[in-house]
Amino acid sequence: MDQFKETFRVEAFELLEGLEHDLMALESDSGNKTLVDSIFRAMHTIKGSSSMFGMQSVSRFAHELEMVLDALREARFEVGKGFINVLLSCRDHIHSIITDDVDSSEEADAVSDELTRLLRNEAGLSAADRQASPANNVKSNRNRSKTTYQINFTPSEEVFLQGSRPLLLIRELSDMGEMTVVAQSTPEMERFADMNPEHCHTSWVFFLTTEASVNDIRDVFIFVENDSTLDIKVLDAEEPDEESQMPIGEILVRQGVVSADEVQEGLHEQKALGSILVEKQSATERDIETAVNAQNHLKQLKASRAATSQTSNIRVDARRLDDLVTLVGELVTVQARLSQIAVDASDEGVLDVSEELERLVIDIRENAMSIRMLPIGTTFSRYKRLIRDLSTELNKDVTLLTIGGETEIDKTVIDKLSDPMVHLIRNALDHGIEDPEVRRSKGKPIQGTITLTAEHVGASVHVIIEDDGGGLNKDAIREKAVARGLISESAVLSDEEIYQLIMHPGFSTATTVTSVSGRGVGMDVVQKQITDLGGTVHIESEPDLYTRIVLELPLTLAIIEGMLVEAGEEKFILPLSTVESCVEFTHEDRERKTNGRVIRYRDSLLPYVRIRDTYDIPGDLPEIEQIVVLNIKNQQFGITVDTVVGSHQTVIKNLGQIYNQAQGVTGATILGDGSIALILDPMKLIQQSGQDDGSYL
Amino acid sequence: MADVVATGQYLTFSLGDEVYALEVFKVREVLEPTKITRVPRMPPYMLGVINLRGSVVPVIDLRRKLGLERVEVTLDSGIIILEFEIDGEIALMGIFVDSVYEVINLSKDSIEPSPSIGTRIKAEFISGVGKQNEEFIMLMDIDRIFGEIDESALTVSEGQIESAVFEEAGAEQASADSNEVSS
Repeated sequence: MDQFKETFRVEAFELLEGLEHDLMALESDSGNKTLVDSIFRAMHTIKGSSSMFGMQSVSRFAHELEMVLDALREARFEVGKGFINVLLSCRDHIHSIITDDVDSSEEADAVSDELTRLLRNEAGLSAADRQASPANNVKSNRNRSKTTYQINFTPSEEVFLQGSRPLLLIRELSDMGEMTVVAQSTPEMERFADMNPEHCHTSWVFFLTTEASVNDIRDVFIFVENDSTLDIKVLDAEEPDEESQMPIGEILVRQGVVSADEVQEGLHEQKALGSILVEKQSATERDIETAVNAQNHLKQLKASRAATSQTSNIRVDARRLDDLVTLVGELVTVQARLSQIAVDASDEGVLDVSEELERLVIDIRENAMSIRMLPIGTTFSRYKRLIRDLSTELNKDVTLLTIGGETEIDKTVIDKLSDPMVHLIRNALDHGIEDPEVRRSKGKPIQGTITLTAEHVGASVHVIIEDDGGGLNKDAIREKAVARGLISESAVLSDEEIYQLIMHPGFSTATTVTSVSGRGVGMDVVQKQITDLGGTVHIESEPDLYTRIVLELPLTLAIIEGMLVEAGEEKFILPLSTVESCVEFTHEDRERKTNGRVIRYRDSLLPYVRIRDTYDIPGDLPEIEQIVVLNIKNQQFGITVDTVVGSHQTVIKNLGQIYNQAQGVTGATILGDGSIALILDPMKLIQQSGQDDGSYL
Repeated sequence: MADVVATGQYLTFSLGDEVYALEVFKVREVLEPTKITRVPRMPPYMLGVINLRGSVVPVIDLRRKLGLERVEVTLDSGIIILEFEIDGEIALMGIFVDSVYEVINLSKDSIEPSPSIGTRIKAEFISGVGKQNEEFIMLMDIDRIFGEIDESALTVSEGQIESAVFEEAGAEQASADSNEVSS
């Protein structure tokens, strides 16, 4: 039973999350019927399932809310900000009851009652409205099987002059279900020259698959029905799965255009049925076109259904996924050992098997990795609520803009990203976006904008939090850093370096401590959390324009495609995604160089570092060295190694706490022969080497 | 219960001519010396990492960590793999020692507090002295040693970040300080 209850909880939380999302969407789009329906459905499901699992208080509460929502569906009142506020609180209340798993505490019930009362107030419904009318009940219990209709609609020529707008009707219709629209010119319109531009010369055929009844459809046309020709036919009332393959002849027969015999006749001739029927003058070209459209409509319907069923989900415990990835990691390591043995033994048979295995392992690995990849947008919507609540609390008007929500990133990274993101968004709201009056005086739009962007850059993902607020105050940061003894008064720092100071532990420039932020914990925690994820934090800012925090995160924490290189006895992995090419660096090249760490590469000068020097690797330089040319963020540089071994599927192993400070090394991997290669962060390696000899690349 | 004298099991090993012991429940296993992959730019006592059946495990040179003189690797040398907890997660760490002896029982009442002088390594790393067959055995407080390594790991990393950002600043700071003293 507990297991089922857990499922109920997980599903309820999902529904509540969706509800929250919909509510916020409804706030900005208050007339959206689809949203109202979706909110109603969510509440309805919560009511049903909570009652099934003995959460009677939730069920009762949800029932009350459902009745109010039902009134909303009938548009008996307008959605206001207050209404959304209360409904959000209701949602939170349900959430907390389910989280606490305590049914029917008096406190909770009291809160429920109070919230119900508030909600009714906001909705302008009196307690007398409590009983939903029987008609409504019928409506909500209505069998939800879908019917496909063909609606022929020919408005009168004067329809425009009467002030009716067919477009609005069409829009209303299309809200009812899935619809294909065919517009045709009326037979009356023959010559362009004779056309009266104020008249309507168009007729329409709609193919609508909906839950609504014929009368519902007729209601749409209620104001134009008298002057127009309106013909509604049930194309098929059954589940459309079968008839989506309905032959065109049968559609024509059902539409009453041709008889079944004519179709049979047509089928005997080996031409396209449509053209035969036209030839035989049983049907006009227009009829055929309409029928073809009907066929397409049904086909699309089927396709969309197939797509829906394909993306059906299986709920899997995240731990199992982690186990799978660990196992795949082991598999990759074992496979690497096998290919090593196969190469050493130079046995054709073993080589074949090993290569085949390698291909399979690559596929398995990519599959396993993609299972763990989630679009980051799922978390973006969570922050919407945060921004909404905080901006209310702080009396600021702030909107959230999200870009690249479909960008996929490892689940573990997403999970661990949540805390730092909340910190950053709070900061942006509290310190970044100015008060409305200040914004007005600066000539900026009153409404502040926080933009969340996610994008792939090479083997990493950039998550950017940007606000269009006051920007960072360089002087204030500097002053404070001096006061705290972090830097000396005369230190020369670049802008970026000054901004980095705010990530120092215990640094906060906010003069007042609010409940939102300003306690000086925050940026250093963010820095640590991102670093733990193998990422970096960059800060860009322009006074009065923006503050932009860029989080550079690795795509995955488990396995990467790497390039194995050797220097002396030691082996290293460079992320393959950053490698552009490899060039030889001969003894003569070395001789020719006097100083400076650059070589000529494709008509430009390429700065490089020698890994042997940076890491003090003993031994003599080989006759010919290799320079691996890397390209990171459109910056090219070289890393000089002894030999390039080749590409290598790299299972990332953590070096552990005590090697946290190993700069330039992000982890280790185990090679086929059991030895260990260190995984390098080329960017850090370059910076390190730059610090060593005081030169900057 | 009070009559039963509590005993603990300890693994003994040597560094130089002194015998040390560790609580055995902290020990996962003992390995022969194996290939250690160096991690560059680390303090010398941090020898590097080894491949322990597919896991990457860091190894430290206990001699160098404790400030004893270095000796060559011999046939007797061994790596003791220890288990300990960091932030709720089990981590492994190897310590390189001169030789590994045996597991012994020591009753709690035979353990005396560590002498404040006369030990070759810092007294704070010794949690007590046990006695077996007229031989003294130093009980090593390995948690404290790791704690220090951990701490130094963190401070080193911060120091490096700072030195990266405040390279010039640091120098300026130093000169500013000296000015203050003179004025």
